[in-house]
Amino acid sequence: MEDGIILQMLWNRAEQAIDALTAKFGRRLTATAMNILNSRQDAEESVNDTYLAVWNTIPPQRPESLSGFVYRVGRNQALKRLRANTAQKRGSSYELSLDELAECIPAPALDEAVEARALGLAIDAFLDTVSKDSRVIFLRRYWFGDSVKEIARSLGMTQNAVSVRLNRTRQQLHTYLYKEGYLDA
Amino acid sequence: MHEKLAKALDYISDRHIAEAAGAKGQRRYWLCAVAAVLAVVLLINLFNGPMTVQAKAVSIASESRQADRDGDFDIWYAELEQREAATLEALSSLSEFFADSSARYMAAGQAENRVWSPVNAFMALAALAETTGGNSRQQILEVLGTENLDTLRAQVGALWESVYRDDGHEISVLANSLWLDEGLSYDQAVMDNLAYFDYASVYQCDLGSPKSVKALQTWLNKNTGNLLKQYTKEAVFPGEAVMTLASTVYLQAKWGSPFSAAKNTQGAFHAPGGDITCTFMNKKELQTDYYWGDSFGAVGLDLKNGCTMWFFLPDAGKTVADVLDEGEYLDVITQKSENNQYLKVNLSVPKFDISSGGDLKEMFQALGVTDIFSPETADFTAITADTPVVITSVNQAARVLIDEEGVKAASYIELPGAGAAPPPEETIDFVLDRPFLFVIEAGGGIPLFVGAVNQP
Repeated sequence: MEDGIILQMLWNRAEQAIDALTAKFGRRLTATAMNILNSRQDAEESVNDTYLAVWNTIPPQRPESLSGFVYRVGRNQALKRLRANTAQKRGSSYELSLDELAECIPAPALDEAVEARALGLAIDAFLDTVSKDSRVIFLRRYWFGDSVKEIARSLGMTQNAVSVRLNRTRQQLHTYLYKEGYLDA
Repeated sequence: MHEKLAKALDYISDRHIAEAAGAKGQRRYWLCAVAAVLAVVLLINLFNGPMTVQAKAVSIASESRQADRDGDFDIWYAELEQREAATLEALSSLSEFFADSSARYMAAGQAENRVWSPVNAFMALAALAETTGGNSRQQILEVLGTENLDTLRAQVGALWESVYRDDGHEISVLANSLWLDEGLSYDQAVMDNLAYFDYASVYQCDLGSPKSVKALQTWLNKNTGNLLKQYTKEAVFPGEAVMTLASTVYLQAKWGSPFSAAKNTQGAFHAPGGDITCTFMNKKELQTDYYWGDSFGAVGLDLKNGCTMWFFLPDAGKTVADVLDEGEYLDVITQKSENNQYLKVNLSVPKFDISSGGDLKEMFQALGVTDIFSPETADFTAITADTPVVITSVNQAARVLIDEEGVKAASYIELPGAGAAPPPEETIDFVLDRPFLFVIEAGGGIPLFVGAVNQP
């Protein structure tokens, strides 16, 4: 179903919109929530929270990209649940992927003095400078938290090729942030 | 958790998120397309009196020892990082051999197309080190800049595993085989070491029989993707051979971002013997890092298997030989060069299909590997104490071809990006319309192939 139709259903307060959201985004939302929470039950609850949050947010919001908006809400719901779940210790694949990404970020960029927004916008601008395949692989790994194996399977690549591409993109990001003024000691 | 990083990622724009979520894998038949196919084979023939015994497989090459990629990600990633570190360490001592041997090989025919594989030569010499003893082995270790056999084995393992890829579509595989004549006694422990440390299969058969020659040619063709048939059809076990070592490397990969055949142009290539007309593949305003050295400018194009094909264009008044002699190109492929700038590059590369072959014996001797070629000094006691053995020739053949065919269909992941970032201000033309050097670099700076295109 077209994003525009689902959006209109939400604006019309038609409950079928939830079914449409589930059909179109459910699988990816659940996978991302699983990556972050490492628990099927938590993931399912997080995805249900996501549908409710989208229902409560649209209207008044009318996002230009429904899919981007829904996935963003889904990721934030899962992160919120992860933070609230004190029993949840390290081990989710999403945390591991963040650790992996953090290694290529120059230390000053992670300092308290730099706003997360500035760093995020810099990474977003960097993604415009790389090829589409590098961008997709990068976001699948560090935004959606997919495993290398899952990325390789879904994109028809070898895991080795995915890993090499990620490694190169991280190096490019490091160089980019360095040129942007985040100088390592 | 890296809270700040998690928050920062929330500012990634919706269009990027939607793009990543919506990307689909390419159809498998697209993957059959080949943009760059490269192969090389080294044949080292060792001679002595003919013998006769029953043919058999003495040992079978070890398979890749990369960690299980379908298993635990952390284990696999840790192994990958460990291997990359080992490869870097290996390259630090092998770089002189790679630079020196490549310069010597290319210098032998400056008006011709030349191509060879430094890594393949290394693998062949490493296998020879396993089969030799005394000063014969010592000479090989010194030429490779390696302290001892244990270090060499670690280097072989790191490089072999770093190069190895084979999913049936993206392929880069090194292979070794040793062929023993019937009746030649051998030390099984050495054969097992060859299989394990050098990934070599060892066969024993009547080297004088047509059936054995056919088996050798089949093995060579299989391991070079049938690209070198014009050379392998002449591969035989010479009349007095008691052992033959065959070493191959085969690479097949697609461009990371393909050329469009619609943008091809016809133009003049200024070859040493006069201008020739050829087809140029073009990319307009390619946003990439441009590198330079004292005698060249360089651009690298990614291949989908993680390799990079580097093009080095000698400056006006300079030659490919100058670039090779100065060795600065190795700093570029190992990412040590600081002479680079992010630019828009108008790239023109001629389509080419080049091959070259010949005997590397003189080059090996010039490098310092001499004892194994003389009956008085050759020491192959590690492999057999009963039969005197000497190497009479080191036959090599290599072929590299690049084109844009087939990749046009593989469009899902090659679509140009939205490109909202400010492009670099400076634009240069990088037109490979005169003799140039290329290097196919396996990830980590391993020079898989080095070639000079004089007549595309």
